[in-house]
Amino acid sequence: MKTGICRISAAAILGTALLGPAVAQAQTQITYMDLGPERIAFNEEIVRQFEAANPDIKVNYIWQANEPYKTGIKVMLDSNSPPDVFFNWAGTTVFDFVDAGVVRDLSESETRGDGWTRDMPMSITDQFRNPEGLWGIPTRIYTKAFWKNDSFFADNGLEAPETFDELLGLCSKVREIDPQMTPIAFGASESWTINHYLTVLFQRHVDPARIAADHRLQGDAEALYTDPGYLEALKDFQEMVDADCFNAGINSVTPEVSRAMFASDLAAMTFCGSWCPPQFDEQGFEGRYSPFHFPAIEGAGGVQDGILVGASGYQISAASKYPEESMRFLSFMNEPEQQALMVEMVGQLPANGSMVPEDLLGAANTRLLQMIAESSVSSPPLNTVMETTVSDVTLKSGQDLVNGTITPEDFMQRVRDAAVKAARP
Amino acid sequence: MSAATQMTPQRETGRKKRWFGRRLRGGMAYGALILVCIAILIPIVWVVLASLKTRREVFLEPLGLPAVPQWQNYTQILETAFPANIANSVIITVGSVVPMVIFSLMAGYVLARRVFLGRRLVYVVIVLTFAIPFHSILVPLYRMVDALGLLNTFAGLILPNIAIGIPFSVMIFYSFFRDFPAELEEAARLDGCSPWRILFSVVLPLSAPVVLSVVILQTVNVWNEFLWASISTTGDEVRPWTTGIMQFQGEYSSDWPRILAVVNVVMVPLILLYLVSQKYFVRAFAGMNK
Amino acid sequence: MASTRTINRALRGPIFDYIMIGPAVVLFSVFIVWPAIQTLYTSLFAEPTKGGAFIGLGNYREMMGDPVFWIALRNNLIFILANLVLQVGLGTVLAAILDRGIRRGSTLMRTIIFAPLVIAPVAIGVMWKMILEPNFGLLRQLADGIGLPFPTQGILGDPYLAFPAIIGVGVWNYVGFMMTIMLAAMQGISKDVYEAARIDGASAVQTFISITLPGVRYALVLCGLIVIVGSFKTFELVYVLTAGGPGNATQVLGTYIVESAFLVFQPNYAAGMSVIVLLVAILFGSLQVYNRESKVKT
Repeated sequence: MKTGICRISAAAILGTALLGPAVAQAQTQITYMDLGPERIAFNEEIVRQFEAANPDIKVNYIWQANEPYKTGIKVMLDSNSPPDVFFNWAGTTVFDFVDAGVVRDLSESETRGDGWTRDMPMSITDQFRNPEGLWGIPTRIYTKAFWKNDSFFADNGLEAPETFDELLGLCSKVREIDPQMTPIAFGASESWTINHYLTVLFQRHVDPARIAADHRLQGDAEALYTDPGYLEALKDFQEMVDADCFNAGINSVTPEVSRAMFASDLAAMTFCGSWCPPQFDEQGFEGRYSPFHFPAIEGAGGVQDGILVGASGYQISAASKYPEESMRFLSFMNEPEQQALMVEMVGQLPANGSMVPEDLLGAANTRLLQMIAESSVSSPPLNTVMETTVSDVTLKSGQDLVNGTITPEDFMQRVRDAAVKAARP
Repeated sequence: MSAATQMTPQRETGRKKRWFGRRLRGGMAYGALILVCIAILIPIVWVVLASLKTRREVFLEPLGLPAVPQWQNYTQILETAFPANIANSVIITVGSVVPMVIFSLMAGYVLARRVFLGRRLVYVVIVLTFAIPFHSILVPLYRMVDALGLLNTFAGLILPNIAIGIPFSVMIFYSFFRDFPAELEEAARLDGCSPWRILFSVVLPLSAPVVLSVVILQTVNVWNEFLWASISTTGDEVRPWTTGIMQFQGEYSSDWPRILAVVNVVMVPLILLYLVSQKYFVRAFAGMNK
Repeated sequence: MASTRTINRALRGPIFDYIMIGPAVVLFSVFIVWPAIQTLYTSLFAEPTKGGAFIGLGNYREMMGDPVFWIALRNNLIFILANLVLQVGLGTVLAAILDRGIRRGSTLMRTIIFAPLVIAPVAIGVMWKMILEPNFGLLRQLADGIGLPFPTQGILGDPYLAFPAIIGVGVWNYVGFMMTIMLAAMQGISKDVYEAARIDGASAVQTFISITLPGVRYALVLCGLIVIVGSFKTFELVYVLTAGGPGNATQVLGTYIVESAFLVFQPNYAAGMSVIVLLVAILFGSLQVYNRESKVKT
């Protein structure tokens, strides 16, 4: 009898040793999961501040790197212990979670006017909204622009192109000036970079309402993605490839290498996101580059002064035991003061940028925010707003298009097939 | 009479020719091997050099030596979560490989040596499933580990690693014990030894080479395991180096010199393990050629 | 006492056996067999996002019409064949040279050739992507240095070169392992046999074919088995080098399953493909049962 007890307790001891100590929880604990690693220091600071102000709440901060986050987030939300507050990119996954019933509606917090709503532009909050409610709140935005090598442009009397034809012309001009110089550095080993070009080209060629309806798979399934503008956009993209605008081996080049090329005077231009300037600076390129708008396309039927803008932010899971506390944390984290801290520590564009002092933002970010303000339409990247399977096909086909293994017509056929299939109940 | 004294002049030249041929072949053999070694070493040397470069040099001067060796790439990773990740990897690897090898040895031994009800079934199921990869059972495995409350625990990382390694290890032990000289055990049995005694006093001491080979192979697997770790860990407390390395890999850019420094550091223990046990490793596989 | 004796006898008999086999069977059943059965079960349902209804073989029908599934399967087969020829073949040749061709430096070379096996896939991805980089990479610079043209689309981004490159990296990674096994087997062949062949005037190649190869036939089978199973299970090598791209050109079942399950979130469709993988795995397993059995008989 005695040995029996001994064995059981020994097993229990072994069990706890393996499982880790059971945490005695006297206080409320919320789990906060964010994207790493850039934001680790910032998050630790925010959690420290928040816990100091709210001694009854403990925040368990965890992070995942980019790739595991993308692959793991859906499974995690599906698990028994989803994080209370978690990062997400605005777009399809936000609403996938809504459909799956695993996230909370945050409209109440907005109506109540919690701290985060101060100076938050409605257009950005809307990226997390559908007719049923508000499913997340934005923290930061990202945008994409062409960047030019200022001294190369000045030395050779070049101007930032206003139209697409000028851009193509510029490509051959750069090649004439210096055959070693790549006109536009481009790395598409990760295919989202192609999708960013296509996002803007589609925006130039197709009516935004039409694009939005196609992305949501609204209306007659057979009519999805049939607007001729899409094909025109793909042909323009192909023209850039054919006009020798890019470096060799586009699909073999990582986006990172393409940034390094631009920042090392090996390329005259690059189409790069708001996350790029810190990397240019790191290569010692500080102050020698400036952004310009993706040129207008003459005669195209879409929006000529539009821009790519995406948002990312946080959602609260429906399974959270402490939704109020989670919301309190989330709101705290996104008040303008903390956003300013984020700009300072992480160096990205805050969602409510108007509150952040210009000297904190830096010249490049300030200019990017201006460019967003100048634009009449903001489009989030295709891959974030298309239905998941359609987005997958678009991403993959982009690389095939660059390699010339498919034509623009094949590309659109694939997209339409995927859309029809996805639209089926 | 010896063959040498009978040698005719013709055979004499033939021997010279052969001697020359052997030298030529020897030279070619060295040449080929050295070429292969160089081809294998180049990427490794490159990684070591690149880990001492600045980020800029990694991209734009991938061939040359680092202008100023950046030793701080190594010292700086010590200030990150990397040492903790390595400690976790050690716990996970030891915690997985030791029980895996013990359990597999036990199972392989009785499957090969003893007769009992269900032996055949267990053997067939284990062999039938030895080719199952992690990715084919990932989703249900995740759900189960989640239901057991083991996500983000060492147990949640270790138990599946043990399980996935068992079939292959059992097969190696099974082959080894099949060819193990039965006379030894028979003698011990006639002396009245219990099977436990036989196992510990006779079989185990003679199994060192095969045990070491399985340990090496499975240590490489578990130490480098990435897929399961990336899905099942979100917390720093249990994160192994394979996913911890991503702390240097941002959403848009990566700290390559430091990543490569990590890569070099984690290679060292495995190469040492191999060097130490190389002799046994070779002997164990020699045993399998039967 | 009779009861003690019974216990003793049982401890020497079946209890011993079941204690010995128990832990392995339990762990393996809970964490491998049970999830495998669940994979089979969930593969019969529609995706959770599409209602999750029972659809029988619907996922399998979709698979048959999915070109990417066939690309992945084809790549898996190519991978197996190429690796059999290159990894086992090259490994055997290298082992033969090390065994018979040279006297000094054998240990050093053996260690060097074996070394890549211990390098983590994560690391392999990093180093080879940079070596193959089309603008600054090592290979490009070497090609420029000796005046050879470099593929304009690069290597890992080229639909026709990417997969051969993955195979090449795999050879670099594993050839030392194959060589080690083969070398161990060759060292088991008696020196007298070689001596006899030498006296008979057999050439090196003849000796290799008529003595070495038959002498190591079981090790060859073992290597073949390891390579077939390893190539079939491959995920990480492809994932870190191309993640299946460009487009879907280098997709293998492993990457396509993980992508479908976690990125596109079609876990039940992925389960269907996993069942195919499980079936093929079991087929390999039964070949091994057969192989083992025939070996025991002879």
